[in-house]
Amino acid sequence: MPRGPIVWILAAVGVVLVLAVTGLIGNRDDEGDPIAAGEWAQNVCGAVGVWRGEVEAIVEDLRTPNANAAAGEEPQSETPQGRTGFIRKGLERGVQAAETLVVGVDNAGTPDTEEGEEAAERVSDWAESALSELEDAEDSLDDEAETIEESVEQLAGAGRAIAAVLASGTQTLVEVGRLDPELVAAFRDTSTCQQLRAERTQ
Amino acid sequence: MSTTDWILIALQGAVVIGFIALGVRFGGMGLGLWGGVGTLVLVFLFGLDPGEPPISAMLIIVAVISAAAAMQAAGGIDYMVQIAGNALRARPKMLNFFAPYVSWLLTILTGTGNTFFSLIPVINELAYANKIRPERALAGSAVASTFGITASPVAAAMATMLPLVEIYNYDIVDVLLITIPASVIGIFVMSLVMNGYGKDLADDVEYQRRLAAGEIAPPAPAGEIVLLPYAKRSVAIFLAGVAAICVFGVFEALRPTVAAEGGGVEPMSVTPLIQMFMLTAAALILLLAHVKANDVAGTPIFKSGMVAMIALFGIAWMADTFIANNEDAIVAALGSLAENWPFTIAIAIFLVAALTTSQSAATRTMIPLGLALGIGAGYMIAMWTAVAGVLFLPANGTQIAAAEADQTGTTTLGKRVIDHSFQLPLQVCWVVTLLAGCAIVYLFFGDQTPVPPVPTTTVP
Repeated sequence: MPRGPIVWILAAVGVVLVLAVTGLIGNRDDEGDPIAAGEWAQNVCGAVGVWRGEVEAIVEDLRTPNANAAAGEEPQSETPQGRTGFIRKGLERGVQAAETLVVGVDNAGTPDTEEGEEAAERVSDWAESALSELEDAEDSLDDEAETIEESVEQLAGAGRAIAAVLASGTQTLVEVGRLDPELVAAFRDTSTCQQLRAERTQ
Repeated sequence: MSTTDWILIALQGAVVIGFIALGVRFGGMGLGLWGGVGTLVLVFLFGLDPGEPPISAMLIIVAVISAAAAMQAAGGIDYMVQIAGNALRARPKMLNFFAPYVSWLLTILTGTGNTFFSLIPVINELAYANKIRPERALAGSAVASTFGITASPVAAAMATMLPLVEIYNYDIVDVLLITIPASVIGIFVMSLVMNGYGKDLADDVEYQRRLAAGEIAPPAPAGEIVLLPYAKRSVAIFLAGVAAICVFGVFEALRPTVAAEGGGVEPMSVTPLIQMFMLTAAALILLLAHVKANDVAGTPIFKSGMVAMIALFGIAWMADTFIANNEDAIVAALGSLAENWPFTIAIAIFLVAALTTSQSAATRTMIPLGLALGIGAGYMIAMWTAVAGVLFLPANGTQIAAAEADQTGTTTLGKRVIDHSFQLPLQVCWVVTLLAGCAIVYLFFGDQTPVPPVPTTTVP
């Protein structure tokens, strides 16, 4: 096989194929649409579960030493940083994860139940507030600490912000699940919500 | 981000590409040296924070090259060539299929593509001795080893991936049931394409020029090789070193533990183990195969390995300086692309991996986004294999080491940065693997998280 344009023609054909297949697979965008309670619960618990997975990875990275994290990576894929920088990076990733959570929750639609709109609004409000709280925590690291005590407090505050957002998420889902009986059943029966409950109890 | 910021990023990107192109033109050590100049320009002219040189990869090259060069000095490479020559006598081109799968398997077992460094000199010598264009086996194997990452239960990228899809009832076995067969198919098609890629060695102009100029010796027929007395022993020691890395890679419980910062202990990572085992293999070859230490430094494998290390040093340092300062902007831009046009998610994963040279960054940023956009978790696992895009630019250690090892000049880093030897196998492999993965999900997984019917009874 000769070298030259064939490489680029093959690459272009491949990219078109990938785009076509991804287009065929399709995605879900139920933003603002009324959907079955079970489907909505499935979507919301899925979005929250993925977000918890991201936070879990961030917390794990914060807990494990830099050297270990870098060593597990492929070469040149990570830049080892100092502790404060590492926590800042963790918070940046937390903000990024919360942005994705907002997208997921908004795409989940609105359950077609009596209290469906309120339920969707409360989950959406919580996702927005999670994003805002993590952004605030990230901004707080920009203030220059004058003493070592202040510095430690900054780092502890960042950790508390992540923990608070996690706890409020759990609480929000519990409260939303109580809004009407259909949602109770939906949260109980959908696989992603069952998985989420199992992860929380672990 | 303002337009000025984007212009600055584009200018910095142009500096990186320009210096890679300049380095490639000079070749060999020149690649690393011009990479160093590029780093200097980025830091002094654009005010970027210097990134991290790829210390781990450089040290692995040193350790692996020490062992491989010691084996060459003991005549072990000649022995391997003889064995492979006999095995491949009927169909020497089988090497183009065999080598990629071995490289892929080694990465799966150890969870890191770093182990591929140990195969580079061996694959190169076997290809050349069998008069096979080394580019075919080397480039294919480098690409295949990268696909081992998403098929490895012990890779760091897998640890990042699993928590993201567990909520959709996909566990590690499900993920492997998608990525392993998909990459087997992808590698096969890639090997098929590479098997006929480029001119045969005898017809290659650059190779013939080097041969005529005496820059490279013609391949010795396997039958004419006179083995040194301890050649077999050196091969046994080298292979035992590689086997030990695999065993410790697979069985974490066998590894020594180190203190974990969060408390307790955890198994040592594979990277320092590769370095320890390869240095030990080199030392044992010196001791048991009666090789003089000074002879090791005079071998062709040692020289090309050291050149590769310097090349990697400069190029990867420059690339990391650009990436560490611009990763957020790159991820945000490509994330926004996928958010607006979800059908571009696979391309976005590939490009994030290519532009950040990080499989982990691509995994942790783009996979959650795809799931949030409502793309099925199984399909996202299939698309995850696109993180092999890390080989899109010729700034990866394995690419540079493979190009330097190939003395025939067929494996190149390209003249226009992206027209390197690894581009065709990469494009073929990632597209076929991804499509095969999607087909596997469609046929065997469907929707693992079916939505239950809305209950009709109320629950207190």
